[in-house]
Amino acid sequence: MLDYPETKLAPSALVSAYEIETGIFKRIFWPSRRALLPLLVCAGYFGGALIGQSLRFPNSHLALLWPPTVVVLAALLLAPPQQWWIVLLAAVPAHVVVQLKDGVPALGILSQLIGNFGQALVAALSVRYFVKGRLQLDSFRAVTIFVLCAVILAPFLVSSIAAYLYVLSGWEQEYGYVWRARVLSNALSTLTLIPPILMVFDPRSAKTPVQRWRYMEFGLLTAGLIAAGYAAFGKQIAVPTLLYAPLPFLLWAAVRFEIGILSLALLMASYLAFLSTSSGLGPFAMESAAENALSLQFFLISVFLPLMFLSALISERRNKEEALRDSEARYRALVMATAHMVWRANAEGEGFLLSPRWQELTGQNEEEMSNFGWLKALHPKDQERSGRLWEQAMTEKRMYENEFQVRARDLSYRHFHVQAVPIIAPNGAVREWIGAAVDITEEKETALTVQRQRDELAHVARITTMGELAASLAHELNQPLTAILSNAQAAQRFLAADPTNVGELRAILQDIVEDDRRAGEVIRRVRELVRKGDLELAVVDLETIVRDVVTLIHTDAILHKVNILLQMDPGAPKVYGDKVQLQQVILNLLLNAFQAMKNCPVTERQVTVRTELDTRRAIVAVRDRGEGLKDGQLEKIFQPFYTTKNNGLGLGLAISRSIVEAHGGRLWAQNNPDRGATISFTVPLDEREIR
Amino acid sequence: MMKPMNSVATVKSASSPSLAAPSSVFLVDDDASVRRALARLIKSAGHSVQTFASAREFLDTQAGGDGAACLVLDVRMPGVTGIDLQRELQTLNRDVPIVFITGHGDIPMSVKAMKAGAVDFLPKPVKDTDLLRAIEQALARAWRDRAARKELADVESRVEKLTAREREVMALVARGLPNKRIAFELGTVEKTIKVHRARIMHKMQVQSLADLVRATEKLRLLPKPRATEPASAPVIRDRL
Repeated sequence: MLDYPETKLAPSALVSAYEIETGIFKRIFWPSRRALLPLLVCAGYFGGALIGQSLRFPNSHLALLWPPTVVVLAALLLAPPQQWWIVLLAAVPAHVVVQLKDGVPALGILSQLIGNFGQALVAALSVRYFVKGRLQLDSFRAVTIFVLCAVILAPFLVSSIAAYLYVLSGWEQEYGYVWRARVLSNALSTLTLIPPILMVFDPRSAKTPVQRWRYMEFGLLTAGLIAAGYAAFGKQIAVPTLLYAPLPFLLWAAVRFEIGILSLALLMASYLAFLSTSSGLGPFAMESAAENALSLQFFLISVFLPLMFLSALISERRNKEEALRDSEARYRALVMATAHMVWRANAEGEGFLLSPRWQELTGQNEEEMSNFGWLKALHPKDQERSGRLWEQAMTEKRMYENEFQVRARDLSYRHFHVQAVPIIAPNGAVREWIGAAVDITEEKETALTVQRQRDELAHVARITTMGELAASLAHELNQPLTAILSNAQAAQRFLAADPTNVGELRAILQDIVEDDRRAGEVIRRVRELVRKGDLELAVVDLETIVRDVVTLIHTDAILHKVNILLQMDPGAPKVYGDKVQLQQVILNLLLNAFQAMKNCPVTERQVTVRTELDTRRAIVAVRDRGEGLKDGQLEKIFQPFYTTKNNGLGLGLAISRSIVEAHGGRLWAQNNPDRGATISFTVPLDEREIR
Repeated sequence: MMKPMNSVATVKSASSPSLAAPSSVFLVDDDASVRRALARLIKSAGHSVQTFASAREFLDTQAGGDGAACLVLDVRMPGVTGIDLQRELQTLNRDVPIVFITGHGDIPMSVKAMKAGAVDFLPKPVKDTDLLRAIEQALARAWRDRAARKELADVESRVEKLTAREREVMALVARGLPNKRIAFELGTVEKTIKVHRARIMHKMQVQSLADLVRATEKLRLLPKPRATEPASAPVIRDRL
């Protein structure tokens, strides 16, 4: 509150007119914040001295409390160190005026100044050494540091010197007495005054509104304390048992209020004790006024210290609870606010939800969910696997991860990605599970749309390719038809000549059947490629796929005068993918190879198709002996609409790559060491093959 | 081997000069089942068939023999195509009439083939009658060529027997010059020419001047049906 940055008042171009006006207003009618600090210190010092003087025991210099030193200490604790000189400088005139008014000689004034300032500085420096920044008395540690440094160390240390100075300056006579008096007085002052001052200037206390009943409670406490104080100290004849009458109220303050209020209560008790003792009442009114003061101070300190620590412990605990409650609330709010379903399950895997989304979505309540009832809300095809995975995760105490579809109340299905982690107790057992289910329906649908578009493009490209191959394909179909016709006509002629020759006729019929089958195969292959079907992922035999394609473009190879050489892996790799799209890729690569060799001598035109088995994938390499690819072409050829053909669309390789990548594989081109290029692609093996 | 059908036999008798002489059909097609089916069909017409899976195989085999032969040839084959084979056979001077069959024959290709002397250019699937008629035509041409070649060979062997002087005299006789003029040209007397002439008539086994002229004509006319002339033709002309 006091370490106010000056920049706020400096008008800048960005400050609005209103702010400038209010700034000017503040400057004229309100002292600047920097001026506030010395003013407060000066006034506090002065006022504190007056109060201290009024708390003197009769016939003694010694006050029960000496607030000026505490005011300086409080200012030092609150202000940043670079402003300490302002604090000290501001206190000087107040000190001088007060002391002069009291009739203290000049040396006495100086020695007292040194003593007061010295103690405040030692206390502030030592506290600052342990606590960086502002001291907040809300933890056991902070209170311990405060007590050790400011209440014990600084008074003891500084009083040793100050008492000597007092004696030396002739203001006091007896060193031992002065030392004791000064230590106790300062300790008590620090103990009772610093916490309330810190509380008042704590920016947090200004933010938290205080309920009305707290004021009432505080009033009640005050009243009780006054009554108890009167009972304890207000009697001519001391009743030792009544000495502790204020204690319950002080405990009340310690337990129910923060440390600043406790200190106020302590201050009040001290004041009551002082009033009664100074007027000769209570248990401490025994010997000389000086001795009375010392024993009263000692008594108060010894009672207050434990109360301070108690208060610190209680407020520390309260703060922790509050933090925990805040965290809990935040966590709960987070769970409720998030679109994800956050859930929790006990060690047995029985879940109870934290977020209401599941119930909103499925209509299942907690009871219906229990005992694996949540499985019933899943898509039938997901139920068995999800239950199995969950049980597996529980036995292995490993993270659970799954994807399933959930049937909503309106019978639509939504995709969820679920993850759960076990919280393991120190003994190794699962304490509970925390899981989250994320709705990935949109992502799934987007992916599906992308896939569908890719498939459609692939289909169009396939049709185009097949169109280019039409003549070859017609020839491919024509061959068996030719054989059938010739066979049939030969049979007719044989029958006319010699109806008894059944052997030849049987052979002919067999050939006709075979050729018909062959024609059917051609049609099947063509239809397979031009058919517009959904992606069908299945385990397929790679060699069959390669051979089908090679058969299909047999005639085209002849047309291009290309010889196709197959090097099939003896392992007969089974891969996981869509048969048609894989055929399309191989078809594109073969046609590409044909094209690459169109300027080669006929005898050189050879394409090698090679399949190879890796540990977890199959590699298909199509190698030509053409001109090879120039440096810039190695990647360019995979770009859409890049073509070297006059009539090509330039989509073949681009589509092939997107197909392969959708299959989880890779497609790349490289030049052969001798001549031509090889385009290879990988496709993941069927899982069973991997094992 | 099966006997030919009647309907075909009529075609066959019309074009086959000698039933006794064997005529064979060579079939070159890379497609095994097509090859087998066509072979059956050709066999059903009474021809003997020899099949080859590729042009290379046909070239490597010294197919042929005494009888007349024709070639049924697929245009589109891996390696050497039908058209390539046709050209190759011509450069090798292996004359054999060719019937092309093709899965898809475009016009330029068929024109090229026909200009190069193909008998026919048939699309697949080929009708039996079309194919067999073409084969008959091809065989007939083969027979004609064979007869012509034989006649030429006869004439040539007779010419071989003539002396150099007699050949000179024959060339002038064939031009239709009278004896007196020939004697004058060759610087001799008419009587000598008369003796030469009688010897020539005897050695060439001809009865009349017209026969002699026709025989000498053969030496020149034979190469005519071919687009590219047989290598032997210029030699004969030089001798004349």
